[in-house]
Amino acid sequence: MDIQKNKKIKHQIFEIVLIGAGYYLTGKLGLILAIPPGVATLVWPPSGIALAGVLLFGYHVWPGIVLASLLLNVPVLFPHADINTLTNALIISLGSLFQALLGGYLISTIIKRNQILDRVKNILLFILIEFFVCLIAPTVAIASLTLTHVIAPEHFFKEWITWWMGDFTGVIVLTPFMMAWSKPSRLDKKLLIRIPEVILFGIFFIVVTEMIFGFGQIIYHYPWLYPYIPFIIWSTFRLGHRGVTTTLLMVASMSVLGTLMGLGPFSGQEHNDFFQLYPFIMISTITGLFLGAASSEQKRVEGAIRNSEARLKVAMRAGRMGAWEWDIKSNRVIWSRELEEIHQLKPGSFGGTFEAFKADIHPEDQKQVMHKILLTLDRKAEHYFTEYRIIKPDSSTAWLEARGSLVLDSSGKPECMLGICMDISERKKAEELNLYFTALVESTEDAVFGKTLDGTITSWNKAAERMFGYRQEEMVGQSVFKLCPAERTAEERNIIDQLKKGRSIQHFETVRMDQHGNPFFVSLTVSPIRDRSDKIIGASSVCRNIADRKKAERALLMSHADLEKKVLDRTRELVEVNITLKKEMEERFKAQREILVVREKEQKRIGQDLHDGLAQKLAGLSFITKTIQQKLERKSIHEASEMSIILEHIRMAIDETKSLARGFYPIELERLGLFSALKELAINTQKLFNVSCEHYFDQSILIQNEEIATNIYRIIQETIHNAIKHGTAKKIFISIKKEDGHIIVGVKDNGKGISDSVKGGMGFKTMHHRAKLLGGDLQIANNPEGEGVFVSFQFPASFNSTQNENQFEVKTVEIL
Amino acid sequence: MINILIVDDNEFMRKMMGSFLEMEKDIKICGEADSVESALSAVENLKPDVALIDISLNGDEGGIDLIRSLREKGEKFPILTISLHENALYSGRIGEAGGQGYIMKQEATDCIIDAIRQVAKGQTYFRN
Repeated sequence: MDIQKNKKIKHQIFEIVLIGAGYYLTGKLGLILAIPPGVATLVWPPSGIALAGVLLFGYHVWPGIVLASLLLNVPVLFPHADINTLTNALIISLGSLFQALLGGYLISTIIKRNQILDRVKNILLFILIEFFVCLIAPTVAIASLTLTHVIAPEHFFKEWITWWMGDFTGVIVLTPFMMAWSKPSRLDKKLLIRIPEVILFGIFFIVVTEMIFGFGQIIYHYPWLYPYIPFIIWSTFRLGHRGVTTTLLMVASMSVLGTLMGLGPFSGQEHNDFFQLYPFIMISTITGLFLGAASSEQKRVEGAIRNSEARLKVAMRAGRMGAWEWDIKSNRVIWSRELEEIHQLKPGSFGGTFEAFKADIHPEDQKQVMHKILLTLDRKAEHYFTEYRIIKPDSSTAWLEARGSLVLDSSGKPECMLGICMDISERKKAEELNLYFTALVESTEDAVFGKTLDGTITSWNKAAERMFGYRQEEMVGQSVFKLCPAERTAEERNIIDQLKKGRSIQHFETVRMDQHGNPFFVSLTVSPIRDRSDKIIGASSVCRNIADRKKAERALLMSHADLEKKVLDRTRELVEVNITLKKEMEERFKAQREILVVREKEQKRIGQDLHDGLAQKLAGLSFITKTIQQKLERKSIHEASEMSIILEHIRMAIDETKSLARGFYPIELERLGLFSALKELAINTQKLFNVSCEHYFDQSILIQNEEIATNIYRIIQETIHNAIKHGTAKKIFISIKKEDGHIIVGVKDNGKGISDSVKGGMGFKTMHHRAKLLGGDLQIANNPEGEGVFVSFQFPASFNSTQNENQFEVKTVEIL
Repeated sequence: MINILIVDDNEFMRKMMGSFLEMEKDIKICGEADSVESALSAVENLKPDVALIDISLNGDEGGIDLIRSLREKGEKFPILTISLHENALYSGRIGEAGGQGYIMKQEATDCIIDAIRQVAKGQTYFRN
């Protein structure tokens, strides 16, 4: 704190000393110009330094001013100091100080300190203020000097005006100079940048000065000061404040110096020289200052315009905006670069006519745009405002919004239109999307509405109007509980609670009611709506009337039930039919078997009758015949031998009867078993048909069941019969063996084979049927080895032991 | 003299066979029976030298049962069996049952006399 304060004080002391020294030194210089015998001097730079000191550093510089003034005045005025002298010097000093302080105060109060040189208005104020303030010091000084008789009263006015002129000149020349050089100015940087120009300026200035005053007697003496004027103008436009003030100081200095040296236009006229020089210095200085300020003002305005233009450009570009202007009379259209960019045109490539503008507009929008322009031109519309599409060179489209105003000429006729265009494609896209979504929501058959988290409805679509009967304006702002039957209020509350937790409700089937309180089934889907910061701000409800669905569901359910019943009925019928069919099949099977059994029984009876009746009788006949033959032989009756023929025929008849009997029923089967019966068959076959009939029987096989034995026997018998009758076989082989729990029966012959016509005959059908009764499958095939037929069938060995009814059962089911 | 008991269920057959056999001087028909039961009682009463038994008795193979019953009873006389069936089917079984011979009816006129005489001598008569 103290250090800072000390520093400040030191700084202030330095400023006081600086101003004091400046004051004193320039004062010494000014005193050279004092008009003898007077005390006033025509050029008094200290007044400028004092004012600049006050303006630049502050009022605290006053001690420097007072001291320097005293030091300057005391020896000058009064070589032999007395009390009057000292008093006068003090009064003069105080007058000068007061003048500096008041000037500083007024200027810094009225004008902003660092803007003195920037504006014409400020320069004017500065000059006016100083014009009057500079009266203070001369008035005080000359009055004091007159009163103390230093100056004769008749010289009062002349001294007074001289003093004033000196102070005023000092102020207007030096204060701006010091202000210009003391403040950092952007515009004055030009002085540095333009060093070559400044050097050129200096050279010219020296040449002109030499020309006017002829200091070095080099150039022809041209005793006029006007050549300085171009320099002043040059500096004002090109060299900034510092250049101007410096030039003005130099002009003033050179003029005074030249005149002092008795050179230049005013030389040789004694003291009047300076009176004539003064107007020039003042006028040129004031003009220079005004021009400088004007120039600076203009530059500032230009800069500001440039700045604002640049900003506008940036803003326009950022806003995708461009400016346009249409001069109606000349039909010139001017587009800003931004607008050209919007139209995807290269800078400057826009045609510049109304037609070129129109050509870019989408054909569908042209009419509308022209209409709007006409309305504006006819002053039916206050402003031109429209939206239209343009077609860009790459044939893509963009949406533009155009705004503008009509400018009238002095006679009130339309002169031009100007305004801006904005690329609103994105906004349009968003609007279209919005429209699309709105349409989507509006066109759906589901009621869609928004609500806040306290259940206040915020939107209400057309379907909601239809479904609930409330119109949008009736429902927005109302509570969602209005749609809720009283008993379901808790449910709606629960839904809202779920939403607050960020959960959504999907296809929740419930009941809501319409305007008239009629309840109906709905399917509700409610989802939370979040704002950009992901905070839940409400919910969207999609409500589907499912009354019809429910009805359809019920109908479907009923038709399902109906169908099921029908299916059940049908199934029951089918089962019944099936059972009947099965029964019928079984009965038929049984009947077939019975027929077979009855037939077997009948045949058995015939067979037995033949065997036990006829054959026995024939055998008896053979005995009586033989008896008769022997009796005849004993009586030596020759013809007895012929009885042998009868005997022979009786034997044959017995064999045939036996064969016939066997055809009906193999009596051996019952009495001796299957294998014996088959052996008998083989022997008889051989005897009767002269056919070799061999056999192989696995003796471990025991066929106990008569029906099975009968069927096997019959199949073999039929096969042998066919082999002899159709195949004219000479060799037959029968085999019955056991393999893998199956009994396999095979009959092979060496006959011609068998034709298909025979296969379809009754005999074969019966064979197949018998095989089936055994639970086997009969195979009849011509022998692949070249001759004869191979007949075979197999059946489970277990089938043999116990005649199982169930197996027939199984069979019948399979048939079904 | 060989006394023969003829056992056959066919009366015509018994009569014809009997008259044929009686043509031989050494053969005498001592009795006839038409069933197993009557045969068994006839054997008791008549004590034949040879029994000529038809296998098919009582509608079945009664003849073989009869042989077994007689043998069980201890009757030792030769038994000759006769039937319409093939030799091959019965020879073995008749031997096993205790019979001494078997002839087929259709061939009987040619061989029955020899057969009776052979079995009466204590030999067997089976054609292969």
